[in-house]
Order: sequence, then structure tokens, then C-alpha cells
Amino acid sequence: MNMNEEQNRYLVFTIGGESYGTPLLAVREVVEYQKPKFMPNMADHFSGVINIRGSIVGVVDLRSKFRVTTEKENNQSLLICDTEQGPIAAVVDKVEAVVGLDDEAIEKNPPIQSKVQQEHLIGVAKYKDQLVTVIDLLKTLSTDKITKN
Amino acid sequence: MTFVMSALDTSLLEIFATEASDLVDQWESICLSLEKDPGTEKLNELFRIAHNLKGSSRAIGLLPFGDFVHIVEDAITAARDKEIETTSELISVFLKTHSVLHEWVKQMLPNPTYNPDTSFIANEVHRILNTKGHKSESSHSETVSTEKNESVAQVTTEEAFIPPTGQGVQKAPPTTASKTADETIRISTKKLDQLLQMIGELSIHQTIIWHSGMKQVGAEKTATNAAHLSRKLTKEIYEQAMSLRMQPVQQLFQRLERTIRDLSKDLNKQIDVSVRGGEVELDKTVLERIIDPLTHIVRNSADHGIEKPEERTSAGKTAVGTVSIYAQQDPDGVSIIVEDDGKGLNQKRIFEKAVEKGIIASDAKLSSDDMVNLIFMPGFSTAESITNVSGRGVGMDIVKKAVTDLSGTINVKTEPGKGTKFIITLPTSLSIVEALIVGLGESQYAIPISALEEVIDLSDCEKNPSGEMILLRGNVIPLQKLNRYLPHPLLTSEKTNSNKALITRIEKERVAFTIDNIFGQQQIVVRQLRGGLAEAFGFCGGTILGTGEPGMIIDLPLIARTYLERTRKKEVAA
Repeated sequence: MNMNEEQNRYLVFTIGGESYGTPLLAVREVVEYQKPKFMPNMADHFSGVINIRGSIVGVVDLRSKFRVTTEKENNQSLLICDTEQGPIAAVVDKVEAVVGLDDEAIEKNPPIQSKVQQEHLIGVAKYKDQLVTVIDLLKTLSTDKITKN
Repeated sequence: MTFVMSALDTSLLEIFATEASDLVDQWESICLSLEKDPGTEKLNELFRIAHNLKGSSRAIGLLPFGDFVHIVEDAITAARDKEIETTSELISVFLKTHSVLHEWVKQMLPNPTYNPDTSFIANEVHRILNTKGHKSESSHSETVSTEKNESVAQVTTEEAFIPPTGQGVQKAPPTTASKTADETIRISTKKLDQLLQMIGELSIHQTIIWHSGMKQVGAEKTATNAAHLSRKLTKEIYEQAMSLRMQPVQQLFQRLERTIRDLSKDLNKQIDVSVRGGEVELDKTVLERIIDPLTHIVRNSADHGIEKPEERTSAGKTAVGTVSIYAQQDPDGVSIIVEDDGKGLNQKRIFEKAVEKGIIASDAKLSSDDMVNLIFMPGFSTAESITNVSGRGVGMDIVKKAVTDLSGTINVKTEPGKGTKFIITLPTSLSIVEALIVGLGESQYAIPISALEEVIDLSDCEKNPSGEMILLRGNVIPLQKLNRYLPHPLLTSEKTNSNKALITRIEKERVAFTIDNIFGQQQIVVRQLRGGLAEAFGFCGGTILGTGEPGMIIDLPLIARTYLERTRKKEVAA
């Protein structure tokens, strides 16, 4: 396991009790949860906007996007990702760890049903006996439509 | 002939490049001015610049540069001493020299071995000098140029600057809004000193506050006072720092003047350029982003607007066409106007084209002003021939987008046979605007004061029974609930009991919008919205409010226009 290779590092987080992972490079920073300020005329899974050091950043509720129905936890976190169109924040329940996963450790085309769209699914891996759905969060957020119409 | 750049040379090179860049700009300015109005004094100035460039470049070891300037300097001297005439042809040579020098200065830092082939200019200079029997005293420079030609053959094609022959081939003026190595900016020392002064004052207040914190007793008044003054100062400091970024538009205009001049030569047209208001200032970013749209407009004027001399005279006009470019300072922004006395835009043709492209319905009723502004719609082009010069005219919608991205507006007016006029307005500062902080339900928003015509108390005016109209000083104005356009899922519009309304004007029509609260007026720093946020309906930016929360900036004119469109459609359908 080559922990030094940037592209093999994944950020593991939980949403609704399930573990997800995404390439670490996609995440610019992780910040404490800020209650987003409401913004009208936006999609249902869009929570609002927050202030990150003077910049206005939109917040996407991944729970809503992945249609998670379990109880919301306190102490959620925000992952800030830099898409080509600008930064976007994603709400997650808890950030677990940064792990190194070799290519072989990720099983592509797993025979499971995922809440994530197929194109954004990288595969499935194992971390501490947990099944981690590895997704391309950056791609998910880049292609996500946050406006209503 | 190559030279090795040592570390010392690189820093000298940077200094030279910065100074040379200025000198080269002045060179162009003098040449353009020479063309309109020849004079010995201008030739003297040009000579001084050439001499300066020659000397400094040689001093730091940039021999090819110096040698090239030397060749042209001979021509300048000959013209100044009246041994040859200052013809338009000669000035063209000087301007071509400018293009070479401009590119050279740009390339010398990232690319120290840059050494373009300047023989085409050297040859023209020698030819011109020889026609007057003036023996070129720089036989040395002749051998130099042949040597250079040999070494140039070894330079890779990427590095050799192959200039166009100028035979009607579009020669792009030195690059405009590119991300050049030039990350420096010229600022007024006066502004800088004022800024330093303010920062000094601020630090004094900060010290007072800090000390008061230490003492903890009896120091509140001084501390509060200092905090209050600090806040004021910080605002002023921000504004002052932002104003450092303001640059006169003259540099922009010079670029445009050059473009027109070069084009008129290529197209065999006679175009006089009149420029005014060069001292008006715009933010550096705005300048960088407006140059391409303006270049496009100006190219269109020269290519499609101004007619060939024969056409003009047979139409009873002067053979020489005029393109006027002027800037004027308005209360909250700058207007840039480009006007030509060419053949104007063909409104009928524009309308037909718009119908053809499905942009409007064939039975649409438009005023002639509206019709002409159709050229800004995407997918539009009426260029009869797609010339190399101005392309397909696909630019107009992109021009408009570039202007609106800068929070500006663009309009065109035309008179067939007489000419065309483009009016661009730009806000002075991209960033700071005066805004009203309003409340809609639980949310706070900012609305730029410039969008508001009036703020009224609804209890002062009559409403019609349905509440959709008000009578204000004898005028009927439609009334809308603003939160209908910016709905909050939890609050229904029925709950609101607001008696305040904002009135905005769209050309001749006014619309009033009710809001729940007005919190006050303040200056806000506008943050551009990016990505999906920028596409959100009803907003034109964001800001950070005093509470530290983000506050969206409402685009009230857009909402008003949306309302007006809807009612117009309803009327048409009825």
C-alpha cells in the first residue's frame, strides 16, 4: 500500500450510517458545519450558502441527494470541493479518515445497488471491515444541477 | 550570435523589460499621433525613445535588440532632419517596428533567447533611406543583420517571430487581455501615500483598543471610540486600495486606435479616429475584459460600417470616414461610446435574419431601437461576406455577454446611411456598491441603490381592490410581492403584512415590489457568484453582511423585467 502517492489517498466519510470514500485530491478542505443561509429558487437538495473566508459557497446536502432517510447526526462536516465552475460544499455526517487504497483494493463494477449514479461510482473497497462506496465526489458535484428550473 | 544570461543579467533584464514596455507604448502613441499631424518635435521624441532603448538594451548585453533599434533610429533621424519625407509608408514601418518591439519585450523574460527575424524591417528602412540618396551609414548594421539572418536560421520555428507581409492579411494587434507576465501595475504615488497614511492611523486605533483591553477598567469609552473610527478607516482603506487598481482608459483607446489604423490600411479605406476622455479611469480587470469586446465593435465599424472612399463620395459624404471613441464619467459608472459615420445597420435585414434564425416571431412588433438591438442575440450574423477581418459577426452576443458579466450594459443605435453608435456603460468599481439591506421573511438580502428609483410607504398611496396596483402621485404602478419571486418554502406570501415597497424602473415602465423590512443602507463588497449559484434566478451577486452571514444581492431589474414579460405575454394571448 503506497500511502505516499497522492492519487491513492481517499477521504472516507459517512452519510446515514454508510461509508463513502472519494479521492482526497478532490477535497480542498474540510470545515466545521455552518448552517447554510437559505437561497430561493434552488433545487431541493441544495441547502443554501455559506461564507468561506469571504467567498460565497453553495452547499449541497448529500443526504438529500443520496436520499438517505436515517436520523441526522449532530456535528456534521462540510467538504469543500473545487469544481471547474467554482467551489461547492457538501454536507456529510462524519469524516472518518484518510486512507490509502491501491487500485486493486477497489473493486470496480460491484454487484450492489448504489444510491450514487453509476457514472460517479468508482467502486467498492473495504476499510476496517466496513464496506466503503468509493465515488467521484468532484464529478458528482460538478455535474449536479443546483438550480430549480 | 547568442548570449548567456547570468543571474545578474536576469534581474537587469526585468528592469529593462518594464521600462522598455512603457517606452514601446509611447512609441506607438507618437506614431499614431504623427500620422494625424506630422511634426519635428514628435520625431525628436521618437528619436529619444529609440536612442534610450538602444542604449539600455546594449548596456545589459541585449545586442540584437539594440542593433535592430539602431537601424530604425537611422530612419527616424533622416525623417527628423528632413532628408526623407515622413510619409504614411514610413510611419507604417515605425508601427511595424513597434509590433516587433512590443512582442520582443513581452518574450524576453520567459524566453531569453528570443531573437526574431527583423530583416523585413531592416530591408524596408534601407530601401526608404536609399531612395533619397541617403547612404546608409550603418554598413555595420547591414553586416549585423546578415549575421543575424544566419543565426536566426538556427532558432527553432517556435521562437522565430514570423511577421505577416501586411498584404491585406489580418495582423492582430499586440495581444490584449492575455495573461502576460505583466502582473505589475502602475499606481499613483499620491494614492499610495494616502493609503499608507490611513493604515498608519488604523494601527494607532488598534493599539488604543489593545491597551484598553489590558487595562479593563475605565477604558471602554476610548476603546469604543477607537473601534468606531477603526471601522470607518477600514472601509476607507479598502476603497483606496481598490482605487489603486483604476487605470486611465487611454491605454485602451490607443490599442483601439491602432487596430482601426491597421485595418483601414488593409481594407483600403480612409478612417480618421477621434478619441476623447482618455483620462477617465476604470478598474484594471474591467479594462482587461472590455478590450476584446471593444476591439470587435471597432473592427466591425471599420470593416462593415465605414464605406470605401468611392462609395462615400458618391453618397455625398467625405471620403474619409470617422470613428469616434469616447469615455465619460457618469455618477455611478463610466460610459464608453463608439460611433462611426458609416452606412449604418440595415434594420430590415436584421429583422429578417432574426426571424430566419428563429430568434423572434415574424409578426413581432418591435420599435426600430429594439430591432437593432437584436444583433446581440445569440446565433446572429448579417455579415454579407465573411471577411478575414471581422469573422462571422458571431461576436455580438459574446460582446454583450462580456459586458453584462462586468455588470454593464450595451446598446446600439443606428441611422441608415448616417452611422452607428454603440453605448457601453460600466460600473466604476466592480466591487463596492451602495445597497439597501432588506428583509423578506426571515432572510436578509441586499439590493443595489442604483436599481431603485424610489422607496415608498404603501400606506401613503391608494391600492386597487386586488392589491395589484397602486396610485402614486397620479401614476398607476403595478405592485408585486417580491417574495413571490424569491419564495421561501415555509413562508406563504399571505402571511406577510408589509407596507414598504421598492420601485424600480425599466425604461418607461415602473414596477413596485413589496418587502417586509428595510434594515438600512450600506456599502457592500460585491462577490461574484460562481457555478450553479450564478444561474440562480433573481440574483446578481453575493456579499457578506455585517453578521458574517452571506447575503444575496437581488437583481431587481431582472425580476421587474420578468414580471413585465409575463404580463405582456398575457395581454398578447388574451
